[in-house]
Amino acid sequence: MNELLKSYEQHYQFQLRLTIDGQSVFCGFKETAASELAFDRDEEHVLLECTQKDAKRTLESIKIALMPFLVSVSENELFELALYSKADEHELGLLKNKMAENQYVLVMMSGTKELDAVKEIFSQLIEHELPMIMKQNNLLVLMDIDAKSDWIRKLEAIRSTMETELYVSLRMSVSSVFEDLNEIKDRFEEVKQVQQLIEKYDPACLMAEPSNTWMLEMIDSLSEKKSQKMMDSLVHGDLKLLEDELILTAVSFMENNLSISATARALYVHRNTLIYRLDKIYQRTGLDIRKFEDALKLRLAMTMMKK
Amino acid sequence: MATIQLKNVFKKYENGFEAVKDFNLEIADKEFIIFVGPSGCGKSTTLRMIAGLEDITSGDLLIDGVRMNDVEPKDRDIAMVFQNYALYPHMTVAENMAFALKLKKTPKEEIKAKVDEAARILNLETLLDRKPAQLSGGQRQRVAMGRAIVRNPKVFLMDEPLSNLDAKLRVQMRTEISKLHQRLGNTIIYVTHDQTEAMTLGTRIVVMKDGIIQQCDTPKNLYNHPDNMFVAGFIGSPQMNFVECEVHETAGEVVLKYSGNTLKVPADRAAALKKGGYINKKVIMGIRPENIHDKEHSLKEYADVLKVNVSVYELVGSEVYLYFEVGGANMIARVNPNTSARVGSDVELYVDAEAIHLFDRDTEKVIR
Ligand SMILES: Nc1ncnc2c1ncn2[C@@H]1O[C@H](COP(=O)(O)OP(=O)(O)OP(=O)(O)O)[C@@H](O)[C@H]1O
Ligand SMILES: [Mg+2]
Repeated sequence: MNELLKSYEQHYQFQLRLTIDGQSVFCGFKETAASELAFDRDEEHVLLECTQKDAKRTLESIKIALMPFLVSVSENELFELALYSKADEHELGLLKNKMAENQYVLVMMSGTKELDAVKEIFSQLIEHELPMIMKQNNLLVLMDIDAKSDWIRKLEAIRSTMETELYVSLRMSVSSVFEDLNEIKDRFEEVKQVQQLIEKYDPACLMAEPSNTWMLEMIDSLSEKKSQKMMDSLVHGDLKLLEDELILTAVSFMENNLSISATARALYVHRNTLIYRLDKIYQRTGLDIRKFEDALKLRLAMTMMKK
Repeated sequence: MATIQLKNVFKKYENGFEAVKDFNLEIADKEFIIFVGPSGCGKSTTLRMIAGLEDITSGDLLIDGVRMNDVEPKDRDIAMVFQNYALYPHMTVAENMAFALKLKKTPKEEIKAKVDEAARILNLETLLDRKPAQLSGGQRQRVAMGRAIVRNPKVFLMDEPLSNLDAKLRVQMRTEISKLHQRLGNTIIYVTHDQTEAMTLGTRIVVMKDGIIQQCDTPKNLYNHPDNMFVAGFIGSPQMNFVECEVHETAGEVVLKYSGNTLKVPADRAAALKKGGYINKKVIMGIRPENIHDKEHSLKEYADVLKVNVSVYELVGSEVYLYFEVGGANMIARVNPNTSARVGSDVELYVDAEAIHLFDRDTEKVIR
C-alpha cells in the first residue's frame, strides 16, 4: 500500500469516514500503512493522496485493504445511519450486500414492553439475520422480501407466533415495498404513520400495511370542519344512531365484496334477514350499499366517524 | 386440574367498542369447550382475555378458583395455539419444541423429557432431527401444537388453529386434536367459526353473537333444542328453514297455517303456544332440511304433505338438496338421492311435524 501511494506524482485528496465495530471512526491518513488505519482515531479525516487518473483504482485497493475492518461494520449501525439519511452510497452498498433480496420493507413492532424478548424470538423466526434497532418503544427491522411471495402472511405468522411464545400482545406495521435503500428514511416516516393511523382508526387490526391505511390517511388529513361537511353530504341522518348490528352488517357486507350470499354465510343469518337489514340501513342513511358508490360513501363516513 | 370461571366479564376497547358483554361461563376440568359465532362476535377477544393478552374491563376470571385478572399471562399456566404460526427455520423439530423452555431456563433433562413426551403424543418421534423445511403441512402443524404441549399447561387456548389448512388436512387434524384431548386430559378452549368443527370436537359449545352468549350446551342439545333463531340457524347445515305461520286453534287442536298449508302442532309445543298466548298470532316455524322428506322415497308416512315446485336441484355427495319457495320464503329439503325430482318438478314432500321448532317473531326466542 505504501508503495502504491508513493508512486503517484500528482496528489489528490479524499475524505474517508469509517465505521468499525459500530463506532464511527475518523482517522488521518497520509502514507500510513492501511493496517494501521483503523487504530488511528485521533485525526479528523482520512486523507488519501493519489493521482486523479488512478483515483478509482486506488480507492478499490484501499477498500480491499480495509475489508477486514469493513466487514465488521455492524448492519444495525448502517441501518441507523440510513434511517436518518446519513448513510452515503458506499454505506448503503454495504447494507445492500447484507440483504439476500433486493426488495425491502420496514417492519415496526410495538405494543409490548418486552421488546428485547421480541427481538430475540424474531431473529430466530426469520430465515437470515436482518438489521434491527430499537426506537423508543418500537422494534424496527429492515426486511428483505420476495415481493412475489406471500411475505405478508409469513410476517403475520411470525407476529402471531411471538404472541403465543411470549404471552404478549403485539402489533406489527409495515411500510410499502421499496427497492432503493435511499428511501429508508421516507419509509420510516410512512410506517410510523401507518401505525398511528391503525391505532387511531382500526385498533383491532394487529397487522397493519399501507394498503389498508390509504383511506385513513386521506380522511385523517382533512380538517375537522371539512370532514364534518363531507360527512353530512355523504349520509342522511346520524350514523351514531345506527345500531351495532347494522354497523357490523355493513362492515361484513363490504368485507365480503357486497355479496349477499357470502355475507349471509359469514354472519350466519338468513338471506332475507340480511336484505331486511340492508333495507334498514338504506332507510336510516339514504345509502343503498348494494351499490358500489353508496357502499364507498358509507365506508368513508364510518371511518370519518371514528375521527 | 383446571376449572375456569368467567363471571360478568365485559370487554370495552379503548375506542369505546364493547366487544364482550356480560359473559358468564363455568368450564369444568378436562372440558373441550368451543366458542363459535360469526366474524366479529368476540370469540378471540374472550380467548385473549383468558390468556391475558387483553385486559378484562370488568368482571372476574378464575382458574381453579384463583382470580387471574391481574396475574401475568406467563403465570396463568396456559398455552396458546393460533391460526397463523411460524416455526423456527434453523432449528430442528426437537429444538423448535424446546425453545420456549430453554428461554425459561428449564433444566436440560426436563426439556428433553417433555419434548420426547410431546413427540410421542404427536407421532413426531422419527422427525425430531428434521428442519421445518423438510416437513409436510400436517407435520408442521403438529410441531406448532408440540410447542404448546411441552409447556404442560392447565389450559390450552386455541384460536382457529386449523383454519389455514386445506380441507383434507383439516379433517385429519381435527381427529388428531380430538385424540390429543383424550390423551392429555387438559382443559381446552377452542375458537372456530366452522360449525362442523364445533359439533365434532366440543363437549360443549358456546354460541356467541355480538359479544353475547346466545346459548351454551352440548352439540346434541344445541341441535335439538336451540334457544333462539340465531342458534337454530347457526347449528346445522344446510341451515334450518324458517317460515312465518299463523297459529289457529280449531276443535281443541292447535295448527299452523302458512301459504295454504296446515300443519298440526305436536302436543308439547301446542301447549307452549297456548300458554304463551300465541293463538291467532303469527310465529316463526323452523324446520331443518333433513326433516323434510321426499314422499316418493320416504320409509315412513307423515301426516303433513307439502306440494312444491323445485327451483334448484343440488347433488352433494350422497345427498340431494332441493330448493323451493313457500309463501315467499326460500326453503331447502335434504332428500334421498334417488329422488326423481329435478328443477321445475312439482313434488310432494313430507314435513315431519314432530321436528318443528317455534319462535317468537319479535324476540326470535324459542317458544317453550
Ligand atoms: N384492539 C381493539 N380495539 C377496538 N376494537 C377491537 C379491538 N380488537 C377487536 N376489536 C373489535 O371487537 C370485535 C370482536 O373482535 P374479535 O376479534 O374478538 O372477533 P372474533 O369473534 O374473533 O371474529 P373472527 O371470527 O373474525 O376472528 C370486532 O368487532 C373487532 O373489530
Ligand atoms: Mg377471531
